[in-house]
Amino acid sequence: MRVAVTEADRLDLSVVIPFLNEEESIGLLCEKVAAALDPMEVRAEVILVDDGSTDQTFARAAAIADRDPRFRVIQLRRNFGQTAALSAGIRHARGEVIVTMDGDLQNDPRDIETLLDKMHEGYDVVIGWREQRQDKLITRKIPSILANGLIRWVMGTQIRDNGCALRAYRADLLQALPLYSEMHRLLPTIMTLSGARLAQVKVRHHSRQYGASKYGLSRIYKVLMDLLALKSVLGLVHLPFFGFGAAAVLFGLGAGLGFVVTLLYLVVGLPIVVMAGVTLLLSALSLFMLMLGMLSELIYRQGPLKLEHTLKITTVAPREGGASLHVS
Amino acid sequence: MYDPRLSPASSATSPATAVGSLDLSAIIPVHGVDGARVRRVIGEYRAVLDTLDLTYEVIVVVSGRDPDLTEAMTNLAREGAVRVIVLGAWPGAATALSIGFAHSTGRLLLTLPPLHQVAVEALPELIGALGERDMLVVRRWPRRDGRLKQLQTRAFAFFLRTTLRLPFKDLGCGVRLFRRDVLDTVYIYGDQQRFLPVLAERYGYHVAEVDLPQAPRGEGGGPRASFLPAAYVRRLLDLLSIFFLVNYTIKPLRFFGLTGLVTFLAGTIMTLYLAAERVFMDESLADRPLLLLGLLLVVLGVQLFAIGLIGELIIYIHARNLTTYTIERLVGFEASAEEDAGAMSAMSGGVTSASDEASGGEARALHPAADRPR
Repeated sequence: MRVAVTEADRLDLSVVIPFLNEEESIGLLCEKVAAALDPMEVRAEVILVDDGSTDQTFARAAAIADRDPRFRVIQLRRNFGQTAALSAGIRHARGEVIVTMDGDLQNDPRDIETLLDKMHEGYDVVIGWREQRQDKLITRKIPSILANGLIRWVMGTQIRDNGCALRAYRADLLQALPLYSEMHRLLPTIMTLSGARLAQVKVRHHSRQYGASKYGLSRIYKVLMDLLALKSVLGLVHLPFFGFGAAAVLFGLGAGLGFVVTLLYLVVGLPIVVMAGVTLLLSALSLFMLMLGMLSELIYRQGPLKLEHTLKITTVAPREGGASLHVS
Repeated sequence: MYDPRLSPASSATSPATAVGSLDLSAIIPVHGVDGARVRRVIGEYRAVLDTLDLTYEVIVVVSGRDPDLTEAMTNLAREGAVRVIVLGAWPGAATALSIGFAHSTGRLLLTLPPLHQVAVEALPELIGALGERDMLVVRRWPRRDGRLKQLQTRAFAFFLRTTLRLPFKDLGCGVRLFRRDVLDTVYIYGDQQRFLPVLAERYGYHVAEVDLPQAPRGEGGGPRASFLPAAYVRRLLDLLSIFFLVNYTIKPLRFFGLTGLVTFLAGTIMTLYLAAERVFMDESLADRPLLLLGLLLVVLGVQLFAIGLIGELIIYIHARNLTTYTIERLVGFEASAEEDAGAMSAMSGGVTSASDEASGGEARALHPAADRPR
């Protein structure tokens, strides 16, 4: 998914920041990012993604890019949403590590170094955890607590704060992932499920200084549906037949049981309409699931998805001769 | 992202010149009309285009199923008036357009109907009106056809505006002018040509509607109003398909999940109610028609949900080829990085500097993709 980069162009760090109508914040934020990067001994770039702003955001971003060669700007044709904006930045990133953050000054660029230090300990994803969140309780914090709990429960991960935009990813893993709809919040979850090592560090969080919040609280239904979709898809993707096949077996067993009971009713002389109905229904469902299982097998087989898109694969060379593949 | 299903120009119709060497390509999908009339209409189109100071080509995509029509068009091609692409079967006007597009070389594309919908003298006005926008769609106005046909158009536009908040007043008009970039990004097929402006706008292109007078009826004029119920069914299906295209092509489970859950819950409640009556009030189940409905809804709910999951699986597996955004311009990126941007520079490729400037910022021609050789 990345733009092809020759090895010489490779940098240590790419900071990707999506902006939507942040003309007041962008200048100050970029100054802070530059100030945070200066003392760090890394070859870094900062990619500012203008997600279809209607104010002076792009003009200011372009002016910054003119002054400081580390800054680069991508302007999208219209507002495509935060995930798309991040996705554009990630595709164009050349760094070994990609750090994402919000463009509204609520994240503190000084934390980038904290995240990087943690990455150097050997983690694949390091995400910020806003311990002292500076947001409104009712409209922002409580929905966030509920959503985080839901995500932990459904996906079975231990991520405390899925809403914090300040994160660091290993670029090659991140750039292999599909990214669409509103998936950016779940990226660490997806990566954990594909075997990446995840760490969480406390980060600073400031209250909003300028402008209004652009990406409000997501509707719970959407989150729930997206989670369910992702959970099933990630579960199905390597064993496409298994999920629907298991459902088919379950319904099939029910149908078998119903059939036996129907026979018993018949022998005893009870009316069989209800039991026969249930049996037929369950067998229909079983058959349907079987067909869907085959369908998903077909989709998987014909699709362009490669294993490394959903699975972290590490090769470890043995000390002497030969090669062994270690899949983690 | 241009769909790879369409291979670039085949040898028979291959353009001798490179893409972008002409100012304008007019594409006319021809199907189910009288050859002699189309011939006359194309002649009139050419007469008008000749008066303009631009280089152009006319590409006719014709259904090979109609031998008379094919012959008429082939003769036209022999006379050097047009380039003709004969399709073995008619795949729908949008697919025909896509094929015509794949064989075209113009920087601007003009789609024209095989019979006049718009007064042909007004075409130069359309071409002059593009300015810095990416696409112009035509609203036939003032109208000259029957009240019923006008009412149909208005009713359709009303539904579009109220249910889907789409501003287009006349999507039935086949006259459209757009930059090459639009069809490079937006892939249409089947009967979707009607919705090309809707899709283009979703990709961030600047689309505007302009009024052009409708062609007078009679020789070479458009078909008369159809009173067939089939036409209404078609419109309804059109509406449904835009609804899905606009809302749920990326997240099928949001739609199927909701309908599935509602159906499933309704069925479960009915079944539980019956079961409770059976257990606690000793009512017989066998003669309750509600049981049938309840169970049916349960099954339907499960199936809808499962189909939504299949949809998600398809999207996830193909997600790497999805275009979820288009780029207006890049600042500070080296040419080499953009060269290999793959699908992405194909998306942003062909953006002329005019449209760059239209977007508000200062004129900073920083993204060289416009001149990138293909």
